Amino acid sequence: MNKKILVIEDEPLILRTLKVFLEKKGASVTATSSGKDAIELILNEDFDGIICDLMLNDITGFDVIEEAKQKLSPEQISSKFIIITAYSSDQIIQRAKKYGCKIYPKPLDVSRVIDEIV
Amino acid sequence: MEDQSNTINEKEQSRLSFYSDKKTYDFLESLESHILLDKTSSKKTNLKIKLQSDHIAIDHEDDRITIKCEQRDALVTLLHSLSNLQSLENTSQENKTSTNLNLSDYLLSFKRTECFKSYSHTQILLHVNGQGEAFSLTTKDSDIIQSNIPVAEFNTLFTKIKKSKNKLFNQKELQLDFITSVGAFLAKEITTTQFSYIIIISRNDIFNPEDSEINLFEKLALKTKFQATRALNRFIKNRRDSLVKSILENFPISLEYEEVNDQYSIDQVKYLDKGDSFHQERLELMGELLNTLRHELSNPLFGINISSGLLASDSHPKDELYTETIKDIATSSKRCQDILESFTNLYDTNEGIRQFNLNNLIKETLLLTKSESKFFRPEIICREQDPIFLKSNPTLLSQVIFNLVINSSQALKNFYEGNEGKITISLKIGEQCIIEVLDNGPGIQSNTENIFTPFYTTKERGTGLGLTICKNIMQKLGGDIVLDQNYEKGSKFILRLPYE
Repeated sequence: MNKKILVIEDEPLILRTLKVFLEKKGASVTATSSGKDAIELILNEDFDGIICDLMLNDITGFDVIEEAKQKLSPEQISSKFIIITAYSSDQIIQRAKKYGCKIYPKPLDVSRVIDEIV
Repeated sequence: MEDQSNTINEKEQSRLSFYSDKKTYDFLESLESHILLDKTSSKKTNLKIKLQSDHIAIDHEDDRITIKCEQRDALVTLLHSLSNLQSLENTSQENKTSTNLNLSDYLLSFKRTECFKSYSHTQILLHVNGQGEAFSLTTKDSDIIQSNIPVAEFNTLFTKIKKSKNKLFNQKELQLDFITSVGAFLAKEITTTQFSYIIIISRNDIFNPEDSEINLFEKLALKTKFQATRALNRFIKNRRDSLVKSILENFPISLEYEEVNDQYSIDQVKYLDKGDSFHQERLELMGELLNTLRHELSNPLFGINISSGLLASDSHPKDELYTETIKDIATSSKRCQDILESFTNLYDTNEGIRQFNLNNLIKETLLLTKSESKFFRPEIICREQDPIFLKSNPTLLSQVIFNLVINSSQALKNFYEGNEGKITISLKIGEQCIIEVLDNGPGIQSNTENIFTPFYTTKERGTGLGLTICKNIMQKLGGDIVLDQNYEKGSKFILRLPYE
């Protein structure tokens, strides 16, 4: 079965590469660099997995998660979201843990993230 | 102030000791010709200054020098103002102007009343309790004109006014040159807890004011005591702050302040600390900057890295040049990432003592000195078979090595035209860990004892703090740094660190 995956990342090279890698694994991927668009997508569509960068151009990844709460249960949030970030301070890791989702500091092992989600 | 400072001085509680730099030294020397300070002394000049009631005693090594100077008051002020040092920084020019306006506003307010509108002259004479000087304050437009007046004359006048029933005086009789009005004037003396002042108004003519005016003036002066006190307090504070500021600027010492049993005592004031704290600040700023840089750059770098990975894994047929180029892109971006990492690690000031690979630390440090040292290809010679693992503070140690390599590079750059210059860092362990930093440059010619003294520099644009900081850091790490005096082929610094 094709997994439906949303990638939210503002660095175009990372966004595209993740999309291509995931598609190679047979996933159906929606990619966006905007946090606000991502919220729209999450609320209107059903994704099996969401890879989310923390520092987006418009809002933060945490804002996206907060908005996603409208639709997703805490369990769904912790199982669907994978946070990727270059800012891996203790504070941020603590906060990510609060949501119970996985966090990968950049530079990350792409194949691991992809295996994780597909 | 006089009284207060005397009590403190009699008990010899006010003490100021500091390491002086050359400028301060010259200043002290210029105060009185008989101060004999040993300028050539290789040791840090440790002066202890004691404030006595009428002189400053300076202890230098075992000699005591007594000087009488006007700066005493300034130093007393300095002592008393130490607790306010923090707020000093905030005294902006803007602040000052508005305060002066306050005072002049007050002075001008008399003129604004219907009754005193013809009184063109208003003046305040101010004496702060205990201080050896009094001030005359007048307005010109909305500026305050300030001049000094003798305290004795202030006191005489003050008493005279106090005794006077009608508070009416005439310049003709008094002949006081600090009262800038002409003819008859009204004056009222006021005492507050901190100071006393005399407020004077005059029409600048010889005719005596009417009784109603005399009456009203006295009432007004008393009624407005609060406003006047507030304006004067601000004025006093600003004046003191600018005084301390100017002392600190010309008297570059950094002070540690401690209040013991309600007395002022200042001990062990080290100029060194100033350099050190500058250094620390710079280090922190650098660390912050690098942290931001790392985060901002690592995202796009990571993008480059994984997309080149994507291209390489692509199954399309590619020619070799293509594949190689893609590989190189990946390698380069990985290297950028590594450089960023090592930069940020080196400037991590929060990092404490930990076990680290000394060889790697030096390699990373040399990477940072590359812009200065690249022509001299610094070489690391490890005299041990295995890399050395040291338990210390890598950030600080790296700073020391960084400083030495930069120093050497600068010396070599000036010494050789080509790239014959060579820097070697040799590592070995025995009872201690020994790091030697050598170069084949001109060596240190002059005054080798002074090189660790703050502000001693032979460079045209040096701060003279580099080696001082190195020495401080090494001591902090429980080690030491010395210059090998016998080494003749250039300069050779030996760092020793505890090794377990």
